[in-house]
Amino acid sequence: MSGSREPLVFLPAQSWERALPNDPDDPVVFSSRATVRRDLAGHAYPGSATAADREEVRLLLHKVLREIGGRSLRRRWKNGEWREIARVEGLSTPEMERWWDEAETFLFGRHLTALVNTEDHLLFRSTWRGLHLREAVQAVREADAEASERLDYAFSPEFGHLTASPDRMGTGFCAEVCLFLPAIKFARAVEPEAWDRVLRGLTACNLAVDSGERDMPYLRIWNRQTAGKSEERLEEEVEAAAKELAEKEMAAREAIPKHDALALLWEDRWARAKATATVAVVMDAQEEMELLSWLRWGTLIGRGLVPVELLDLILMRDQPGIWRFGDSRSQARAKRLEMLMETFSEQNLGELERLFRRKPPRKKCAKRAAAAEDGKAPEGDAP
Amino acid sequence: MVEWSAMKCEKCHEREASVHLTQVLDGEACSIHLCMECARAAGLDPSGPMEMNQLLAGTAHLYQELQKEIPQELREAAEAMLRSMGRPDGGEEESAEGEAEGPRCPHCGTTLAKSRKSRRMGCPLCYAAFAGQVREYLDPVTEGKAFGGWAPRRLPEGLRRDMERMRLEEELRAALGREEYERAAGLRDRIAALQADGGD
Repeated sequence: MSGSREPLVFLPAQSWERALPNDPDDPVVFSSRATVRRDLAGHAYPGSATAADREEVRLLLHKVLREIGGRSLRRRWKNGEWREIARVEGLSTPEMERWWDEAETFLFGRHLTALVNTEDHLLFRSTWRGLHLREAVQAVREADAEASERLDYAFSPEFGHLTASPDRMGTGFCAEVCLFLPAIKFARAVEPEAWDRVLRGLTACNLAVDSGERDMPYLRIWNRQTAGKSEERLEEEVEAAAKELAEKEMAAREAIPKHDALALLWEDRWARAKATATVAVVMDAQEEMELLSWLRWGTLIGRGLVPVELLDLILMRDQPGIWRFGDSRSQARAKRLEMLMETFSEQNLGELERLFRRKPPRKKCAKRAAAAEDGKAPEGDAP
Repeated sequence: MVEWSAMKCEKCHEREASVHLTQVLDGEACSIHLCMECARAAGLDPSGPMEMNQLLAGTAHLYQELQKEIPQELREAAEAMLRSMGRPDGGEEESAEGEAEGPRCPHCGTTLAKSRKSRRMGCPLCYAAFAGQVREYLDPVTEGKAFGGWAPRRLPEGLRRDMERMRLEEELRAALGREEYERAAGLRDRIAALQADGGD
């Protein structure tokens, strides 16, 4: 992440992260994403290939992807600052960073991206807001079919698509859904032993700290298994799990206010989150995600003042994946908080100012402020 | 799905294989993968120095034992390996280091050990070079079912025919399971016709 205080210029919605802003019709599912990975017969996989081999593949795919309507972003590649944006926007991968000159990204309208020379030669990815896995799958299917008319894919009748990683061979397909499940976590609406049944053999990852912990407010679920089932079947399994979790989440959100003890606890946590956001100096990723979760939840139920889109913007910018590049942990923490506060100030929203920036004490309150500095702050003024 | 890096012993089918005997014969890699216990039981002690005749004796003993229970494909591989090891000129014997790395892709040179460690193949032909291991890895997931995903539109005729044949074979197995013999006979004829078309 660059050290510049200038806000990043975001590209049209293409990436997973960019699709995070709330869908008003779906208070639980952020976004849906489908990906297929393909490789070309007769060429070593990018990780084992020489630069000349990768360039040969890039040129071949450049021609084909242009033919089927892709718009290349290669010209922007020359700009180092743009590379930062590409990282944030999910338009590059760590592999592409290693051989940047032989990599390329293509855009197809609003929802589809093609990445050339990532771990595999070709990757099609479609991202949608809300639960729209079918549309995402359809988009990658059409692009894949068109490309496969012009390319010789590495394919075996027995094994299916031969991807660089054996873990993805077969369909080379991945369906993912990112969910916002704060009430499930808060009310423990899914017992630890019930998660396996709900997830139906799918993999779940805590979006906040990229861990396998499942009982978390920001959860991503996807199919690890890519062989032995059709793409449609895999998509159905992910969608079914997402729907079940969404139902449980909404039921928990409705149940909490009716339960006195839980409602009181909720109020307490919500007040603490607001206060922490006001005075925090250092925050780690986990704490920040918890905070964002509370603020987001409050807004969704009409209690908060912070627009959900803004909270999602922070989440998008601040995902752990972004911080992996270059920064040490301490630098990352300092930058994280700086960016959090910077983002709020950028928006210049009065309500946010009231929430996140303490105003200087007025004259008639000067005595009270002096008392606060002496350590006699009125109750509730600080956590 | 089982991890690509985990491989069961071909003798006991329980412990993880840590001894890999490999020989290349006529360009094809033939391998036996054993756990340390089964290797020792067969007279192979990979941890200590080993004379070639001791290795041969141990492998021969192992081969005889395995012959009773291993599939035809593996038997042939073991046979080929023994033949090659018995060659007066040493054939294409690999070093002890090479043996530990398992089979090697003749196209890109990636070894099975490297592939397992990195969880990456070097090139699409690695799948052919490590076909036995790939099947072992895939079988619990696919349960012998033919590939039923999105196939490329542009596909060489031979591959297309193979896909169709595998699909029909799966249907045939299902028909036999349901005792639908008339349908099975029809499927068998179609498979035979496809094989004849392909010159099999």
